[in-house]
Amino acid sequence: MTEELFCKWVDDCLTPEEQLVVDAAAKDDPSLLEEMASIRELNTQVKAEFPASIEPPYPDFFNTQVMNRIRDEEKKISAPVSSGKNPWWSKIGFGWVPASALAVVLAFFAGSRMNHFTDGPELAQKILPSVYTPEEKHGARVIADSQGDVAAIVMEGLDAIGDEVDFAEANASVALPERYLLSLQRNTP
Amino acid sequence: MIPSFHRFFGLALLCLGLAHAKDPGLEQIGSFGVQLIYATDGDVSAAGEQNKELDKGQIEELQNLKDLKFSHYRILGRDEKAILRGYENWATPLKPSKEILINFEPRQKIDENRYQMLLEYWQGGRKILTTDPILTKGKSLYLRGPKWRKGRLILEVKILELI
Repeated sequence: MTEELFCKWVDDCLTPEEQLVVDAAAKDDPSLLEEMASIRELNTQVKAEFPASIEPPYPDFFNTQVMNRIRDEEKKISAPVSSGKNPWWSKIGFGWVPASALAVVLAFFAGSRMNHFTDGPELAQKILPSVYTPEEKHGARVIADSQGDVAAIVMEGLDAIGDEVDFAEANASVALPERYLLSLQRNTP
Repeated sequence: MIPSFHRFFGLALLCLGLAHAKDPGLEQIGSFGVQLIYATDGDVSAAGEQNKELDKGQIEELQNLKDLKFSHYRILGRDEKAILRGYENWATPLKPSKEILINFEPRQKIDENRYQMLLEYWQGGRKILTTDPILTKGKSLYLRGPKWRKGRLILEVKILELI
């Protein structure tokens, strides 16, 4: 019996013809049945321990960063080359785009995994922050100071707050984010 | 051979210890300050009579930023919250109002004085902005917010302390 057939057997994906072949093999060698059972058991345990998919933290922000990086790479690739000769990397064309996106994904997950437990001197260079506004009508601009650090973020397209709103009073009509309430519960000793 | 009573006792102690172990994500690694400023070229008393003025250094800092240049600035409210090692936290600079909220979470330590943070600006119960600036302890980042009473609201966010 081939390895491919064995894998299909474990996954219950055999065709009737393949099932006949496997049944005959299992009759000749009963240890195959034990091996199959143990692998199925292992699969069940793994599925119970790990979710089928994991949502990245801040998914909307994450997706925007990936798309921004792809757009940046596309712009670089489509920019005309000043010299007459085409460099070697131009032959790869848009092959850079998925590679770059993959690099962003890996960097994001590596960053979120390492989180606060490692120092990041490589990030000590001046890097302006990314900004993301979930609603299309909003926008944001980053302003740097003379040292190249972020000094301000100008949010645009925001709804004005009504003059009648008095901040000294709690506004009961504001629906609080679920995460805010969860955070209150968690952080209150 | 360890007697079964001792094994049971040891296991019970271990379970008790685990149950009382503090979540390491809740460890405070610093503190974060958010200040809400009312800025206007008009009548500054529109925001209320009792609001404090900004100090001169800060006024100068704001007036050097083109989009944040106004004649008058007043402090409407402030909040200071813990930066937690593994969880987000929220600042409500307009207590008791929850009209404006700032969500923050440390992303990565850069050096002794700097952290990359994830920040969110919420207005009226909706998320408006997400950003990931590298903040230096004691150095302000200003967010220009919405219009209000012939002026603008400006949020000042700052890492006050790193432990």
